[in-house]
Amino acid sequence: MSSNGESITTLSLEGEDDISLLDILDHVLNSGVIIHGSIVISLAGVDLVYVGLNVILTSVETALRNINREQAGLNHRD
Amino acid sequence: MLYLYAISQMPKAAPPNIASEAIDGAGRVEALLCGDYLCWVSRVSKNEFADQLNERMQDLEWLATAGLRHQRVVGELSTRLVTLPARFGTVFLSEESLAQHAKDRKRALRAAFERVADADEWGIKVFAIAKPMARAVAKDAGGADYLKRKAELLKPRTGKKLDTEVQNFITALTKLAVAASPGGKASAGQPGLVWHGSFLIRRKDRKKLESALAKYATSWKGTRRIDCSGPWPPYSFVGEHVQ
Repeated sequence: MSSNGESITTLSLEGEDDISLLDILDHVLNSGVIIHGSIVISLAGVDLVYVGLNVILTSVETALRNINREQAGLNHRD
Repeated sequence: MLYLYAISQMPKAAPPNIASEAIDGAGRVEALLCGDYLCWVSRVSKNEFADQLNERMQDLEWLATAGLRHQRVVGELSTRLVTLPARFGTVFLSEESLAQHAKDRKRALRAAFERVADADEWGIKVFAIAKPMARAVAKDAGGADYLKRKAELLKPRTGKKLDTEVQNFITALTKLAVAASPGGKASAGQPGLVWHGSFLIRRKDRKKLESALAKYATSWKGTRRIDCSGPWPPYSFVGEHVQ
């Protein structure tokens, strides 16, 4: 598949270089065959991961905003 | 203990050797005969993959490494055999228990194999292209107002109602797909994300997917960006058949 200017970005898994961790987690953690039974020890942890990831993503955004705010303050003082 | 990566149909020749690293970075990926199918596993420690799995799953560094290893094994398998990816973190105590569970679900597995045969999963994301800050935020806005509006621009837009053009885009892709699935939660917080989802596309229809993406990318130039990743193993299209 090819790219088309600035409006489409195609990420091929063959090289893997451009695939983000979020993409991998989106697909790998989203589902897959579930074979139920007492032998399966842990499947429930997946939802905890989502909570953790969302917290981290929110933290990144908050951190970016704080940096922007600090820069705005410095510029204002200049 | 056995960590399960995927279940595949029996190849006509000998099962392929899998070169990708095992989930723990130490073991070897091997095939176990389970009824009519092959279960692809590696031996792992009970401590790491059962007793402490919940804690490990919250450690992003561990999760990133394990998630990538899981994907590499399943990805390698998918290029060689018709494969049903197992859910991340599925472990069994013994070969006998795994074989018994696979045999018990023979009919459901067969239906899942029929569904994903000759098809790949493609991940699609639509992003709004942010307007230049100078135009989006009025120059005369005060400091607090400026930051508030700038923050608004950074928010993910997944909660908003989709506009007609994006709805039409989703409909067009759904028509040429075997099935569609909502996107995973990991990407949901990405700034500017308008919509994301996965499509199961027959390999013979890949050109149609490319044409549809190119058509919308052209008409959305400067306003929206489409990210397409794939081909993925059919992670999002095997679960409901085998529960």
